[in-house]
Amino acid sequence: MMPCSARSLYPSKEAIIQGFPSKNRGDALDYSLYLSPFCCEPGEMVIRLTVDVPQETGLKLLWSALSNTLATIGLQGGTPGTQSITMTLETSTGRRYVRTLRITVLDDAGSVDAVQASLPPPDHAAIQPDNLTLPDGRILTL
Amino acid sequence: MTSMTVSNEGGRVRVPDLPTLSAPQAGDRVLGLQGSVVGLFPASSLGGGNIAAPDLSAYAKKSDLPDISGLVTSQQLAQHITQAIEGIQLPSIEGLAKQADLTTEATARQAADTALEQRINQVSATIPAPPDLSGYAKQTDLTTETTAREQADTALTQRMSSVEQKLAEPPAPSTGGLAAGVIAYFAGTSPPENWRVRDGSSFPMDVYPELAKIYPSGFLPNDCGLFIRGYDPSGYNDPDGPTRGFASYQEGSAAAGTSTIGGRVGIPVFFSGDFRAAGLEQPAAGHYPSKPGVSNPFQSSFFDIHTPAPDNAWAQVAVTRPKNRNYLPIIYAGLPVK
Repeated sequence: MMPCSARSLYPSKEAIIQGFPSKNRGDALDYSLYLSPFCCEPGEMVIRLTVDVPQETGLKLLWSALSNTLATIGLQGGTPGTQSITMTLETSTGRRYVRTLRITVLDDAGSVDAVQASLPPPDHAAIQPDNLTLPDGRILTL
Repeated sequence: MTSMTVSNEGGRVRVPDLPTLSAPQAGDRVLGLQGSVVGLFPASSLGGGNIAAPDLSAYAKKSDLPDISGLVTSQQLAQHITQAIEGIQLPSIEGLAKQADLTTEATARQAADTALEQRINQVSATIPAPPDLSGYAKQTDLTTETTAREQADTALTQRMSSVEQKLAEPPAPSTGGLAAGVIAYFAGTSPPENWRVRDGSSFPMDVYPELAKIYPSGFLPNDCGLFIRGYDPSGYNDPDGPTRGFASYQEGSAAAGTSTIGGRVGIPVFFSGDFRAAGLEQPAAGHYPSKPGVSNPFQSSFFDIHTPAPDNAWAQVAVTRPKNRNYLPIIYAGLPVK
């Protein structure tokens, strides 16, 4: 899939709290940050993304993905109200940005709360290597 | 808290660059498990922090890996694919048109189209202008005409059907051209059908409505024993005609004309109602009727009258009566309605 531009945010260069577009509780949507504002010098690129989702938000982090231009996360569920998540980005030159982003979750009928969303991560983006985790929980090493 | 870290190729650590787990050093970062997340973590954070003897029970050993010696290598797979491709029997394309042939065909068709269009233009130029059809009926006019004719045919068919029904009905009895009220005499003692005797009797008005229009009372006049006379409202032949009512009854009269009575010549002698009005005296008893056996002087053929002074004489006068023969007086009553 392609990340939706309607939920893609150009982050401020300043350390302020920005908000993603709101979602309904039953929505399973992709949210993205454009990476270009984080790269200050030629050749610099974002190489790592860490997403922290507090338990009380009720949001379920389906996946996080990193491409050359976007840092994208997939979110499902959420407790109605304004919820905050943290996205930490590290660049190839060692810069690290911690950005708090808010998402307003709207209540709905809740009929799909327990249904696992099938939202796939973006094509050709780096994702968490789940394949290194064996079915019995052990980590595969070489 | 749910944390998830992902890194692209630039943020990954190549396996050869990883420190060996056999002798990790403080500050080394190793690819490992922290929580439920795989990532690059300080070696000190793994295995309970015991760098010298980390707890690696959660990690798979080489012996845990499946034996992949029997799997096909990528080189073998490529060779296999190459052989498979070479073994594909492609259908022969001999006899099929080449691109150049198609181009030639298309060019020829285009040229033919151009020539055909030119020929059409030439033929079109020779076609004369359409004739002036303004005086001819249009299709809509014909349709309207046809519709009108169809409606007329339908009406005519209905009319013909009605006439045929009329013709199929039994014919009404003929009246012979007579109108109710025609008076005649019949050589018989009883009238023919639809004729009534003029004897003063009544007739059924509901059966003979035409006759009832003439005699609204429902009674016919009694013409038995009477002569009939032409109605003369102008008085041409009947001096009293203008004042005499239509179909009125008149008493009989006797006139001696210009008889000579008592030396007076040309005096009128007649009997009609009042003797004195005629200048005559009432006939004396014993002098009339002169015809024995007849009691009514007005039905006598001859009787004596006595004229007053200066004549003061008796004279015999005759009652005028044409020769006659009696027949049954009848009137046509019209066709009965019941």
